[in-house]
Amino acid sequence: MSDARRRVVRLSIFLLPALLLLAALYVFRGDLRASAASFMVPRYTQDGLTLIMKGRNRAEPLGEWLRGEIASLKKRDQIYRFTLPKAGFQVEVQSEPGPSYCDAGSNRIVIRGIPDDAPWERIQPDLSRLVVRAMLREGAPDAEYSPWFEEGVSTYYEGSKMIGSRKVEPIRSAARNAPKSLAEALAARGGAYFSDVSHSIVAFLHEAFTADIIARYAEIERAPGSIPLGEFQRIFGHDVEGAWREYLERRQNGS
Amino acid sequence: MPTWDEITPYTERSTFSRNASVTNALFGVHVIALAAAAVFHFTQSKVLLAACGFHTVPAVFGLEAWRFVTYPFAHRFDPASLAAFVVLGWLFIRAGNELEREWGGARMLGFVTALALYGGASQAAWDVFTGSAEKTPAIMMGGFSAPVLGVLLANTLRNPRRPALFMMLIPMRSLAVFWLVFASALLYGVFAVAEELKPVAMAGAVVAMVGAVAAAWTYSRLDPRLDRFLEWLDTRRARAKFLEEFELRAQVDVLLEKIQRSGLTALTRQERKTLRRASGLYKPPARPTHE
Repeated sequence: MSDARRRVVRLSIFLLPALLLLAALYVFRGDLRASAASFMVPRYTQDGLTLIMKGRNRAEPLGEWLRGEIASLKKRDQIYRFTLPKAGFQVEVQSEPGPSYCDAGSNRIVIRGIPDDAPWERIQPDLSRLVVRAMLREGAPDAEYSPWFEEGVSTYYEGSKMIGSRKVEPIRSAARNAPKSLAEALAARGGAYFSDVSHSIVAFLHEAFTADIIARYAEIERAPGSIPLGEFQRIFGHDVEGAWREYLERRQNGS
Repeated sequence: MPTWDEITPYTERSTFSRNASVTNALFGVHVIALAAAAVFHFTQSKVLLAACGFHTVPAVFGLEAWRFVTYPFAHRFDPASLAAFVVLGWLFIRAGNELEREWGGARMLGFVTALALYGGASQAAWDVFTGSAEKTPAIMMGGFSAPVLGVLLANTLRNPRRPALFMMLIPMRSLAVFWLVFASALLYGVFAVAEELKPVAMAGAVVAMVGAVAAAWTYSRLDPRLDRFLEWLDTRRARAKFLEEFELRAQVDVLLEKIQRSGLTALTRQERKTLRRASGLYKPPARPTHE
């Protein structure tokens, strides 16, 4: 073996473990390949909020709106203990279709299906919902929130004004497709009308009960571990199911 | 009592190379990169760091492989980084030139590049396993501390008990000097990091340094063994070839006798094959051309 060839062999053997490690990372964490694409997208950072999206003319009003809404949400909140992540939010707006999401324990929110030339107002519904969800989780990192509670609260605060409001269409949809019992709705973890039904429960609670009572239940949700059976009825009364169904009927009839 | 210089006649004297060397060239590129960093700093542009810096997500998952080699050149222009540049740059020139004199330029270049790769790979592994990659995708890492520490260790391990001067003043063993520099660099990585990089990046910087140093240590320990193994392979191959030739010559002698006795037509197909194989042995070596 010539000296040059031997050097190449030695260097290749030296590099091999690092290359194998990198190849393994690339193969086993395929989910991060999508994040790599966002590095080409401009980022705008101000006051702890990072927006990764195309178009400064969209990013600036969106950032201003989000900062204002988060501040007023925190100021008004008496129930859910909404907390901003220490590192602030990092919002990525992508044009690829797919569900928007935020991972538990992460400050990263990914909004999908928004074309690069779409107005910034189109980002508001998904973003407000996911911001509320992330702030709810941040307020109690050890909590195992019930899926309906998380979904219901985040959709309740969804919108261009994150003040909390019932949404007409989801409640009508929930009324048309209500589960057989409230217990079934509270135990649901997903499904076709999961979001609508969850929203209807939270909207109903806000209309039927005072903030103190809802806050007592929210405290139970925030405690580590799953929610004990019957806690919902203990806090809101045993006739809560009847009241909820009546509320749905009223909303379906448009009153 | 003999002076320090008398008992260490070969120390701190001939380590500085004024000649052209890969180490000096690399350091020159680092100085140019630092100057560029200064320009970008005053123009408040992050182009250099964005183009050359290291981050796990684009480097590994975006297949921007150049970042593994270029991140040591992505210097920052702040007082702490400048102080680190001066100290580590000086150590790199001394240790690198000394090592290069023994290894040669090509091996030195390969070694430094490999150390940068190992630093980056360690950081990538750390980022992925701790979940930092997803949490802070905007932060780019730079600086040449990882490969420089690796070079320093490789040079130290050639003669760990050799006396050296720490801070050009305090006499101590070269291994002790290395540990002091390494510990200082780790502390620098933890505490003197720019505010925007905290808290995830400082862990990454420390991990990159540890990864490069571990790679340099492994290389220093395993490379002589690998060299001996390759030597043994060569010897074994040469021995096998010699024995094969020896056997072939013996077979040819028998066949030539048979041809003399019974003629060429008496050879079997296998024997003709053996003769064809042997004909290579008796060919004269190709004459070198001088065109």
